[in-house]
Amino acid sequence: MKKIIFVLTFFLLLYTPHIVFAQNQYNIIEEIDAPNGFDIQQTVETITKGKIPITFGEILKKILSLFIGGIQSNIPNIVKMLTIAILSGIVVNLNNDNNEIGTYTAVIIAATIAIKIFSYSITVTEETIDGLFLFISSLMTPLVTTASTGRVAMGTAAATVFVAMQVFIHICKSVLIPLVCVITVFSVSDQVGKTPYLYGITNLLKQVLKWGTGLMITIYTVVIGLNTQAAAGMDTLAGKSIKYAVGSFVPVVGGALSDSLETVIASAKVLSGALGISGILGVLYICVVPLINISAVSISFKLASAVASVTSEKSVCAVIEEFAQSIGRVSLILLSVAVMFVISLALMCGFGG
Amino acid sequence: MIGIKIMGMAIVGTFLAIILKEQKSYLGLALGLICALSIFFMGLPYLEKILSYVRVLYSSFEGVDQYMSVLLKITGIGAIASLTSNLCKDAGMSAVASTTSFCAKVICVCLTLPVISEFFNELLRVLP
Repeated sequence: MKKIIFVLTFFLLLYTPHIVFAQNQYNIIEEIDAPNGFDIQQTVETITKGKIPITFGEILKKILSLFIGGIQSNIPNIVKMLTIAILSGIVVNLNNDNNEIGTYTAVIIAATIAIKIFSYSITVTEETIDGLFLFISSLMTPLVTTASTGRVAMGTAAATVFVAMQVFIHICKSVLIPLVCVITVFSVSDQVGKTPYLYGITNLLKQVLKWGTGLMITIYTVVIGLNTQAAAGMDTLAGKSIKYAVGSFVPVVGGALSDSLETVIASAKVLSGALGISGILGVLYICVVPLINISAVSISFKLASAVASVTSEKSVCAVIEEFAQSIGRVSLILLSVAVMFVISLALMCGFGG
Repeated sequence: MIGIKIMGMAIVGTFLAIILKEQKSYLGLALGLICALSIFFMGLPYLEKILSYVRVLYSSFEGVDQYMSVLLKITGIGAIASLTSNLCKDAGMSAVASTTSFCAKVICVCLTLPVISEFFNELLRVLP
């Protein structure tokens, strides 16, 4: 009888860390600073059960409705631009090129209205990036804990990924977004006058932004890819070695202990995967609305420019078009940040390996 | 119909002005001025219709703001200055014509100044 009680107690003690680990994970998840309306704990639980909380059809439907709503909310801006464009055409025709001030005024008014919207887009983008970073920062603790359970190298790689994220965000906020602002100011100032004096430098800056963003995303992906893949390889090797060592050298309970270790790691992987998917859904939840709104503004401006080109001065259309492109660039930066977060989360959860 | 009226008035007015100019030049000039002004005032309601349409279109969404009123004022000043300048040129008073144009430009710049200053403020706000 004593022998049976001893064996039962031993196995209960053996699985206690497993239970304690699972309890701790859910406590940590509660501490995640999730965006309003996004229940991360429930999402994690749903994913752990093998279900995906949202379908592709639902996502598509939501995106379409948001996009159409975004364009509809921008109709006043389109009408404003068009009205000014029409008036500029009337002013030019009435004055027979004697009074260019009317045209300049129309261009400046169009630019003033557009620059306010552009400025708002920049603010929204910065706030969204901050929100994303806050969310990822709070997600990092449980993610690293689960990702590094039985996989020490992954924990180190997670730290590298977090630092890389911070660097990327810092570059986005202090280099790329100001660069977009400078490009916009130069382009618009150039369009107000008749001779494009700043065309060369604006074009150069546009190229710098384009290649700089591409290069940064590539470097970032390479850095985190290499780190996480190398860590995954190291952890696999270390895990197998430990399992072999425990199974072979610990007498009597070695096999059970090594199996238990493997179960804990597998459970951590499931939780880490669920956390990762929830994180990706959270990232999409945070950035999809501002991203679609900003894209809708850009498309509305393009639409206004296309319609205005029929009636108005070329410079008015050019200014509106320039703002459409600049807002498009802003949305591209936000998209880059979101994609970067998604890639990071995917790699950290070991989706690739 | 209004187009035919305007064209008819312009042709008849010009014809009569040319005949009168040979007899009494100042009468011919006066007729030309009256004719031009009449044509302008005949066309003015239509311009007003366009502008009021534009204003309604604009105000139906956001309400008429200072930008719109500036642009409308500039349109009006441009139209009046253009007419006056052409009349003065027709009368051989090119100095008066160019001064009228200049004054119109100055008034337009004065009206535009708040908009320009706001534009530059916005530009500076956006710049890092």
